[in-house]
Amino acid sequence: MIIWSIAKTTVGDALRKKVLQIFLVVAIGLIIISLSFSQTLSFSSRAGSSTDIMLVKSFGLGLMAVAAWLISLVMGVSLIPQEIERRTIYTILAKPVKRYEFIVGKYLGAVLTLAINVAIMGVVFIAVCVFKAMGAEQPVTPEETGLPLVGMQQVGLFDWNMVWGVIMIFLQFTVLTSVVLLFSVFLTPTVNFFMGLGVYIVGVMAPLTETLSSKESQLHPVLKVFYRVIHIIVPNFDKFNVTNTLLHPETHIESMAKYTGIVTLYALFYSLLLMLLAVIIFRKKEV
Amino acid sequence: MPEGNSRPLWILVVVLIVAVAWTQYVADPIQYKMQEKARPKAGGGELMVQLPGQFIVASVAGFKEVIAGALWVRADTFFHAGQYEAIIPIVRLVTWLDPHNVDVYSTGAWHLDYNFVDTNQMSDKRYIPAAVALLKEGIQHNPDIWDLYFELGWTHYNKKILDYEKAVEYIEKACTKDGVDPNTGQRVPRPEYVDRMLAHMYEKVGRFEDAIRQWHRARKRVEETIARERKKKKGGYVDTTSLDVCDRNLGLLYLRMAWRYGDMDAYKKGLEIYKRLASRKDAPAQLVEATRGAEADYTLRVATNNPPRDALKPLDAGFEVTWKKVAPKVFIIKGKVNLVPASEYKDLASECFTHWYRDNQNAPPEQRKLWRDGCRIRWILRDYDYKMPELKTFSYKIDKSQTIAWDSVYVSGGTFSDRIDLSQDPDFYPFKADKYKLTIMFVPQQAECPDYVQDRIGWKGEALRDKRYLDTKTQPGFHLLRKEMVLTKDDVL
Repeated sequence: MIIWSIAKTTVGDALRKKVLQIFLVVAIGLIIISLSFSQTLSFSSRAGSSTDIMLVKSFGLGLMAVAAWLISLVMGVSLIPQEIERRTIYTILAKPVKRYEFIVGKYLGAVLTLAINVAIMGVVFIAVCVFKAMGAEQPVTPEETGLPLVGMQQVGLFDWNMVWGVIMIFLQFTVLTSVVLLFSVFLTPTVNFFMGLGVYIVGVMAPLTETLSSKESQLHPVLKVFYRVIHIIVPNFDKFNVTNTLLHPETHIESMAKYTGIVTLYALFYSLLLMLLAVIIFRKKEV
Repeated sequence: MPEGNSRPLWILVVVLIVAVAWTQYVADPIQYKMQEKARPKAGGGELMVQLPGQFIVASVAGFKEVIAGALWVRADTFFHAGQYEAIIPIVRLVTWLDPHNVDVYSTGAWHLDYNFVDTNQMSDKRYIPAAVALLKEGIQHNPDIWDLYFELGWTHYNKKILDYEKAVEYIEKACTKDGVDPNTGQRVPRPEYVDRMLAHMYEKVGRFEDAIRQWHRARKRVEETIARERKKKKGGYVDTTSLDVCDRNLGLLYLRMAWRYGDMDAYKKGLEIYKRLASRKDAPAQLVEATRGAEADYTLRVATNNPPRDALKPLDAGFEVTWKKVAPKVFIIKGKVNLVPASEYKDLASECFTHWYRDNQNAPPEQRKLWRDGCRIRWILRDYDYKMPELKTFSYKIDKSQTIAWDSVYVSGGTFSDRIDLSQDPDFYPFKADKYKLTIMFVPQQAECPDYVQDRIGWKGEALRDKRYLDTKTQPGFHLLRKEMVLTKDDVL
């Protein structure tokens, strides 16, 4: 109950933050504008339908990721320091609130805020995708409708893979939020922002750190060990980066549901792990 | 104040580390499999360094597809500004960033094949190998859909490489694949025209039995689709146009096999199809008349045991070609070819169906035609030792020291003439070699040889004879007309 109260307060605080509102509005605006980008394409060899749709999807997923990335970083870095700065933490901890409840409540609030933002963007994005697909045609005779004429047919309107895409974005940034939450226990917001950014970039480049630490790598053994440690410790954000797979499901996916399930567990365990470390540190911290 | 004992929490940390490691262990193989398919298999790496810094950061930070999309929008801007040179590097980058964007491969190849044109709107043929390599790379990344096999087949078939055997090979492959819905990625059947194109191509290369089988296969696919549609609509209107297209083409193939080579069994089969089409209430009068004419002709020929063999009656092509330099890099090609005097149609078996000769004779004298025009003569001017390169990997960097040009000239009234001006585009035609080869040829199977001309000379040009320029070696089984000349630098410049 206490955790839920803290979470609700965190959500309320976060949603009132102008900077987060701006990220959300700008992202939604750009997602809608991407519709007109794609309409400028006219030299495509297939009347543009497949490239146009792909453009809308890739822009939308990319913009949502950027917005969610900024929201989780900006929101996450101030989660704990803000309470300390405003001295509200003293009031909270003076009440029968355990420190772990405070941390968990804060994290839960941050994740809920992220979920609300990603959900709003996701709904707009999927609506834009459906709008783009309306009237888009392809030169295929569909199995389902059985139209015998050679010619153009309406493409499928709803692509479930985009829903997976939105979920992946949310999962990815719940992990980043837990990273910045951990850092916010002992770092200032500015340092935390750059640390979080660094961890994210290294995490996205997981295939690179893996290659550098592999047996085939020509690097010095010490460096290999260094990259191996980096690869193991830093959350593998690349696991959530499946845009190409989602844009071309026919070429990649065997079971997106299975993969999403595993990655959800990964995000959950990793977030719990970092939250736990944050709790351990926060318990030792003199506040 | 700090709170109590942390040991249980540390135990939980260890448990969670194990849990994270386990999920990573389970997710890794699936992720690697997906990423392996998303990874470009060829090219592009060297171009990555040309990307502006922010693009590199964005693409390694997980926004590759966004960058690919942004670049493609940029390519469109370049296209409308006429800056064609700028588009191809973008095609390279986009296919590298997103190797499953089939549209970019086909648009890129089309662009290389057709859009680099000289002052006279002739395309730069030196880009064709790059177009082929790009499509092959696209196939390597997208082997399970029909699209790029078809594009590659079309590039070999129409106007560009003119290698019909290879074209057949690629379209055959296209006919074994399905397509995908560009929005949902769901499998959808390939368009029917792909199957029909294969049947036409079999005809072009003289594989008539394969063509017949392919028309039946194409028809069967259409029948199945119509049956499904009828079941679904429960007696409602179902368009059967595609079925008619298959029937008419198959019927014509049979009839032509009969008229051209005397296959009376094929005549019977072709007639059966056309009789069925003509017996419909809505059959056009012209079709009914044509079918009646063919039926009468068939009956007479069976009775008199006189199978037609229009394409086996020799036709002297009387091919003559002259070549003249009128200014440096400007030439005039002139010539005559006996394709095809109207009189040649007088007794053709196909007349019973087309009635062209009869209608022409009945026309007012000023409208009466003495020739049946429509053929084109192809000319190729190239460095003496030019051989079209076969690129193993896509590269748009062409050898700008090479000269290769070709086009075709329309034959009208049995004569042809063309002024070839290669002087205005030194970048396209540098003429750096010491010797050149000018080939002027007529290929009966080319897309520019109309069916009615083939009615007289056959699919493979079997009727063609010529004292000087008949070529039966270049393409065994085919009769081509071919004159080849070796030119020196002085002849050209």
